[in-house]
Amino acid sequence: MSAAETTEVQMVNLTINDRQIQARAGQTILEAAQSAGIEIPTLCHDPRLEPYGACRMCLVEVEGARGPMASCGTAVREGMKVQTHSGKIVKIRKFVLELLLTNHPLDCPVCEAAGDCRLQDYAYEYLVDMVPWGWRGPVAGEPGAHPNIAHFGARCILCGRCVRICREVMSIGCWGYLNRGYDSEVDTPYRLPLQDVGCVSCGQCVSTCPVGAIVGQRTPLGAREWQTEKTVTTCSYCGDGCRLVLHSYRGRVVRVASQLEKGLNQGNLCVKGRFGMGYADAPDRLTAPLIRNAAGEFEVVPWEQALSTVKERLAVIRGEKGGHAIGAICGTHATNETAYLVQKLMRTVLSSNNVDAVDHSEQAATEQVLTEVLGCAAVTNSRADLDAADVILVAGANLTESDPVFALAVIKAIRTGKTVIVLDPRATELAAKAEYHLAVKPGTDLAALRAMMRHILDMGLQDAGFVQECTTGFSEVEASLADIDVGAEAGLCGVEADLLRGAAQAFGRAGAAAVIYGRGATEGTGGPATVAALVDLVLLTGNIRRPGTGLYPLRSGANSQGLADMGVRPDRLPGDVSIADAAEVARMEAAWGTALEIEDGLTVDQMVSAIEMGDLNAVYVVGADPALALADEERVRGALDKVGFLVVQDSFLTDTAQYADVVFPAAVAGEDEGTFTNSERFVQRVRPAVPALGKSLPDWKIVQSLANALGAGWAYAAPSDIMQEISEVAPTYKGVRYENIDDAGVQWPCLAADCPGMTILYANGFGDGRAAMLAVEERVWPTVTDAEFPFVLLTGSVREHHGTGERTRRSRGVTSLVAEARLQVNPADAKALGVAEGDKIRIAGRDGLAVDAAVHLTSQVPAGIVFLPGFDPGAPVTRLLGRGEPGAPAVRLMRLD
Amino acid sequence: MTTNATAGETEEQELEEQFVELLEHYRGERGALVPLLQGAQAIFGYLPEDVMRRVAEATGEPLSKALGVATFYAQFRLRPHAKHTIRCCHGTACHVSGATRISEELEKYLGIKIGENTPDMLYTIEEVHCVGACGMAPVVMINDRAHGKLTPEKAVEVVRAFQAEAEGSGAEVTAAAEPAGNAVEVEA
Repeated sequence: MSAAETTEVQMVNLTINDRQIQARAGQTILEAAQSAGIEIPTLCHDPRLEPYGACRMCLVEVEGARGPMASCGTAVREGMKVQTHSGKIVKIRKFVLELLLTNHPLDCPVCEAAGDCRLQDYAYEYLVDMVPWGWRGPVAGEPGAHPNIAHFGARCILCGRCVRICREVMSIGCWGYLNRGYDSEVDTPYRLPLQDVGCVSCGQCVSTCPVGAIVGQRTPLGAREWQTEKTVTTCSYCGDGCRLVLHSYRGRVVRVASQLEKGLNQGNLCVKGRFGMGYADAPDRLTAPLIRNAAGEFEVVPWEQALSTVKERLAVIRGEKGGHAIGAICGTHATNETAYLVQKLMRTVLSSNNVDAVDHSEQAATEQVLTEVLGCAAVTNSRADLDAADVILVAGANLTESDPVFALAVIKAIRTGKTVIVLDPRATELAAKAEYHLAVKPGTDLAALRAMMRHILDMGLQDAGFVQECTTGFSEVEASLADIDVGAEAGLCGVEADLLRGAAQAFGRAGAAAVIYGRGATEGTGGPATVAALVDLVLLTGNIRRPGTGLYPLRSGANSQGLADMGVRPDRLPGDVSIADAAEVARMEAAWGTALEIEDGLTVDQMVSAIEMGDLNAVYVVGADPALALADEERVRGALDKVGFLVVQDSFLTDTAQYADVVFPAAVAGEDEGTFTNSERFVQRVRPAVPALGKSLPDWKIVQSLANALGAGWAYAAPSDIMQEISEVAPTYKGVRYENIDDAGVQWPCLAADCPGMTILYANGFGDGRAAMLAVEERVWPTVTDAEFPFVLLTGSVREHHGTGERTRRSRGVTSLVAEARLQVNPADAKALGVAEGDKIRIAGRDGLAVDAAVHLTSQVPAGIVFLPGFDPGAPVTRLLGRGEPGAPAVRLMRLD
Repeated sequence: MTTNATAGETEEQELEEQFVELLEHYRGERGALVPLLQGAQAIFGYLPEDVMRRVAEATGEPLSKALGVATFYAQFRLRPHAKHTIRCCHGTACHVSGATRISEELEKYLGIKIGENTPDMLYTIEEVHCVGACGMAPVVMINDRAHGKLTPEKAVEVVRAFQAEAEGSGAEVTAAAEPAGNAVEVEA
């Protein structure tokens, strides 16, 4: 029996309004009607939530039933006969609406939700032209103190959607009912400000409120629902690839919304996605090209002059030293189209393979190991698949902060009783909710993973059949684990041995187990070994190639995956093709009509060294801020200062742009067109909602202008032309066309125009037939602390900001919540240091470099560990990283008075 | 702990110990929210905010849910309670025989609003939905004793008599201090 046959869904025949329809067994009447295009009104229903049946709007008549049934909570049955709009039902609905309108203030003219209000729609549809008990007049309401979310309690209809979405989907619970009966209300506990009850400003309550009780705070640019144009696009922050709906009015994006049941996010967003668009209107947007003049000052110049200056300088450098002396660094929100053109410019016009992504060091371990072991450097499954997992291991990733919407899949798993194992030194939000939290000491993840494998072998929980048939290298792996004593390894990691055994057993026994991992696992000297251990764990237990299994490497930016796919790597060509593959190089040379360099180019890190050595003399930076992003700030800034010619293309005068000789003003995501490829390999559309500001231009246009100034003769009229070419040269994108991904996007490999993409990789086997398990050398990289430097410094994401924060720092919806990077300190350590919340503290590394930041007390960091996020140039954590220590650095803390 | 703790501090410690024992007894148990709230109220006399937070934490439920339950059931009190509770019944029978005017008169007499405590923390007036003594409507209960067939004036008289007895003797009031109308002992 094939997989397709076993999973075939049972269909049920029923009649709705005298129409024969088919529905899947287990669907509700409401769902069945909706998929047949029959509308049933609802107020308390949201497809993201469990059925509730509170509002009574969705009542329908079912033949043979004793009374009207709530269609949202009644499953379809064979032969069922349903009437959705009988006279009786319409009367009931009208009565329900009359009751609601008795107590709902009619302040529609000033209500933010007017035009997007279910109560308004239904009152009109059901002709509620008078209420027997009288209307309720407008009630003066205050929007509340939260910077993004306004609450007008008087408009509440008590449907409970906000209460439930905050609990069920977010696992937080800011909203609740108060009192009973006629006195019932929805509010925060003790009516505290939202900020004080754990609100993360995701705005899920805003997205679900059917009326105007919870809405986005009104902005000066506000416009009514019917005045705005709607543009569906993909978020440009993290790698989750959420669908956004940009509402624009008079050339400005005034609101960001989501679409229920649409996109990978299904209507859910995070604070950045929903409230982090303010940067587009920041007063310091670059609106014209700049050139540094003889006096060292930036001067506004016309595009022609900026381009010709770059052309002349690059021609000189290339003439003197060759293309090898020129490099390009691409940021993670460059579209695939821009990224493709950047590397094509470097390779075909400037004859240089020095092209890389600014976040390469985070991705390198994954790309190297996954390619070597499995054949393809990408996520093996998709998020929807996690529904089928019994166990999820989250390693080195603080998901609710780094990937807040992807995290919802794990939160759902916890809520539905699945086993989640969190491997992380910090007591993250997920760790607190998960069944197992392996709070390993920084740098000892590998030891924990190896101990887990040892225990799985001891218990005989490995998938011997799979290992035998589908892998090589098992005996070497087994030998490398031979001497391991689980208890001793647990001691090394600082974790209870039984907890580690329990986690290993849960993973080993799972019918389907998946691994999600992030920066905490990939970075540092131990990155490749840790990733190899994660892959081995998955292979050892046969958790690959099936729904609910596999490896999910997280990517830091909206198009981190796409940059790799487009060949923004010094050793890879578009379509994840190695530059060492002569046949592929020949194919690309034919396609591009030019000879290619076949020497590996420089990675970003190598570019810094090459600048220091005088071997790299010009750098072109597209939408990245290496001055803040790369480890060892002092050294990187020195290199940016030294490089002979620096061209920066960005929307702002970033820290990196301060060193530039020429600055090209780039459009922001809401003004640009193209595609992003998310962490799950989904290629999705990016669409412009408003025109580019001033003389700024979309990135792809600037790259094309530069290439043409250098004599390329490119003639891409639109990003779709570029995608056409990408699909011709990149094997994994062969079938990707805008018209095919218009609605839903496609998960590559997409091998033909009608190919639906591939949800699960390796379902038909591995590239080389078998997966090559990697024996890992027994090593850990715990940070060495001492009396003088007693703390371990960790870094990572906070949910309000993205990356180095160029855009989030300019968005009021974010900065009004978190304005500056704070050092997270355990309360016990703070007490010993004599510091309180908000006190300034100096963080100093072994070589004397220091960063000052305010203190934030949280027991999410254990004693002895401190955490500083990397988005704030006022407290650049990179100053203390990459100074010769293999993992997290040891630091000391000094109170500043 | 310091050795010279005052009597108040010692009592506080005892309550805290009882509360910790209660929390540990129910920690992690599903469906324990109501018994926890009842237990906590039995210890503290009402449910202060920090107690609510700790109850929520012990059940693993959000504070919003614990508070929803605590405000839904009439048995839970979120504010400290005066020593004596005067409950004005506003069930249907009492309502139609003039409960509203009785409440108003008692508010005037004690100088507080429904739900408030007198500044000396001796009396609280509450409106309740039905005390189950409809036959003698309208009814006012003082602590566990119901007084029926009242008028606004008689209600004030009942309270005044109770005050005289309670404050005069300093002891618990007995059935002998019954000035007017019917009085019935009601099981707490």
